[in-house]
Amino acid sequence: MSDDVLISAEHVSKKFCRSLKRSLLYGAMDIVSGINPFASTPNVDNWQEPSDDELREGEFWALRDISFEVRRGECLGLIGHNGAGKSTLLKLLNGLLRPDRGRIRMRGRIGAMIELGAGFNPVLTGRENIHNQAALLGFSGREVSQRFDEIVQFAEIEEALDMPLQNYSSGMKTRLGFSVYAHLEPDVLLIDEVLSVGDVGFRMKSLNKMGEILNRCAVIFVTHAMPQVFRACSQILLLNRGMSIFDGRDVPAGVSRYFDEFGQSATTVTGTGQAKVLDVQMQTPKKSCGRHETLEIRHEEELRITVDIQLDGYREGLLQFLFWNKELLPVMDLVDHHGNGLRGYHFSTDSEGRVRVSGTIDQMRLNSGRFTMSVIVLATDLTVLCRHDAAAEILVEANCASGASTLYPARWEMTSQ
Amino acid sequence: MTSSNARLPVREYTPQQGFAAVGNAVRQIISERSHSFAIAWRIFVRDTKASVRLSYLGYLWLVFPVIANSVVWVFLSSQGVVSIENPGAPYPLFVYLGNLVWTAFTGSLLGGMGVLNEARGTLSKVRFPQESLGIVVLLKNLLTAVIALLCALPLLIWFSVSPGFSGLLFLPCLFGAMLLGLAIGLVCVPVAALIPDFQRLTQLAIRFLFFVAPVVFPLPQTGFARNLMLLNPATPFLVTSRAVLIGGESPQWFAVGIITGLSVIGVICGTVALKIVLPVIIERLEGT
Repeated sequence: MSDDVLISAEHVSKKFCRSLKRSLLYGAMDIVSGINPFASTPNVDNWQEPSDDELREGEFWALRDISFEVRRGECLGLIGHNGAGKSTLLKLLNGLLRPDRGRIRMRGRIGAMIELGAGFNPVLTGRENIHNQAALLGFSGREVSQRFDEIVQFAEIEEALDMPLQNYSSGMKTRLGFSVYAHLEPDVLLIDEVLSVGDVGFRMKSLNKMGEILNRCAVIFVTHAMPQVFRACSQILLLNRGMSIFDGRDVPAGVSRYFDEFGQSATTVTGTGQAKVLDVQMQTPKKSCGRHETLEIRHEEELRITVDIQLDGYREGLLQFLFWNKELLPVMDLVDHHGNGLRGYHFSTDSEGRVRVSGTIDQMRLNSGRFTMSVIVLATDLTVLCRHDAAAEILVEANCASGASTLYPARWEMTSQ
Repeated sequence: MTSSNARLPVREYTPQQGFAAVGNAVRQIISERSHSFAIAWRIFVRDTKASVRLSYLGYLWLVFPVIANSVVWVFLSSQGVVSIENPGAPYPLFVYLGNLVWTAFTGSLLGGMGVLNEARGTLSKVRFPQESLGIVVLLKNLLTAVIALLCALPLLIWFSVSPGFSGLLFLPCLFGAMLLGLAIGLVCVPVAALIPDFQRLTQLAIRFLFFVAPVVFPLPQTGFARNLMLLNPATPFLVTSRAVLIGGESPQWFAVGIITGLSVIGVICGTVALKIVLPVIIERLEGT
């Protein structure tokens, strides 16, 4: 391990057992072999692919042959579905669990935000808890005293400092927990989804703080919030069922791989039911697709969307195409000019209540990724007649390393002063 | 930057068993010893403060069981419900001190066995020198015993018993009893952690052991009961500690010395073993 690598995992594997009773039995066996001084230690330098043969009945590999390195100033984003093995990996790195295979080396002082409140005592005051928590994490009394004011200020709990912790709101507790870790300046910081709690203001603040800490330590960051990954991470490790399926510095590629892991979203139709989307067609100059299908489109290509609508009891309506990203945030809404503003496209039907409407955008501006489209039909008084979610999907391909949802070439100018 | 990194301590985690694991655990315990003691003190102060703050009677609750149990037995014997042979010292004092030492012993035993349950939430989330938990058990029981001892002062004056300087030997004796309890407790931790029934069984066993220990009556001079009580490793501590403070019994210094020595070894082995098996236990504690 070279000097600047603070976290290194080499071929790490870990077994778990599904059944509780059996797990306890294996635990007992492991304990016996663990304290038996004559049991031989497996040779860690002999790497071989972990195989299913060495599993006892009911066991599985919770982590399988994971290797990576993180240097000072780097942040590894650890992403994957629930149950992919992220938290297990963090516990191995923190020394709470021992790997069954491989070697983990950690250099320097470790701060592990696995659960922020662990170790807090609800009866004691915030002040007492700060001192206790810091001691638990391995910091000397002098170090704590030096940074005490900063910790309190960052957590925004000045008034509540001498109040018992049980009277704190959950947000206050989280802030306090984060603040203690963040100010004690560990060399290695492990963060497990803790930043997704707290209000937006504090989340921004803690992300900024993390950016600040990042230059001084090596960080491993577990999260489900991809915008945070784009903001903080310099590399990505994507886990699926304990195996690494993406590992590298191309963060956008890792994130899109993460989203590919999820299947297509389910189609749902809501609204008053007085409108129906009979058919959906999407077209680029080269390709086309129908309802519930996925259209591959290059950035800046033309996109034409055609829908067949049946209205019941209405003769006119407003139509919108709304695009969602994988985090279910709306990123683009196709609308029409209306006076000085914008609203859905105003259409009217034939005598049977049917109509075919097409909308075209000349240049696709969305960044690479998968976006689902909802077809929304409103009455002119804005009653939702029909909202057809996940009517179709587009897969945009763009060559730009940006985490933004849209890419827009501006008109640039340069003037000499 | 690079040179400053080179000075940082490196922790390595690999699968380990046998001698390598033992050696590693011992090295770790030694290298983190000052941190362990500091943490133990913090946890002890934290828990004590928290428990005292929650009640009006505060520290009195710590000694209340000792006092209550003693009062019951003094009452029973004064009413002639149970007949207890004369221990050679004022009975209330005798029974109070017996209870005090017995509580220190059982408290350390159960505390040692329950270290993992007590710190369950912290153990699976925060990495800290877990061996400090054993020290916390000793500190907590020491506090209880010292407070109980202070409460015994009025009794000593009332019965005009003056132990003299040799009475100070009570303290090492008391500490020996606690070490014995902790040693038994720590050695049982791996079993108790995986089998919840074990801890309940122990609690039940301790209730019975109370009657085969010279706590509320003196060690019989002869007979089966005497031999049975001599098998109880806590007996020498009970007899000897009382003997040096209020007299009446014959101290068993030899047994006290041997058992204390063994207990120290037991505590060390238990701590090292715990350090080795803890990851296995934490893996099973999770989720709960």
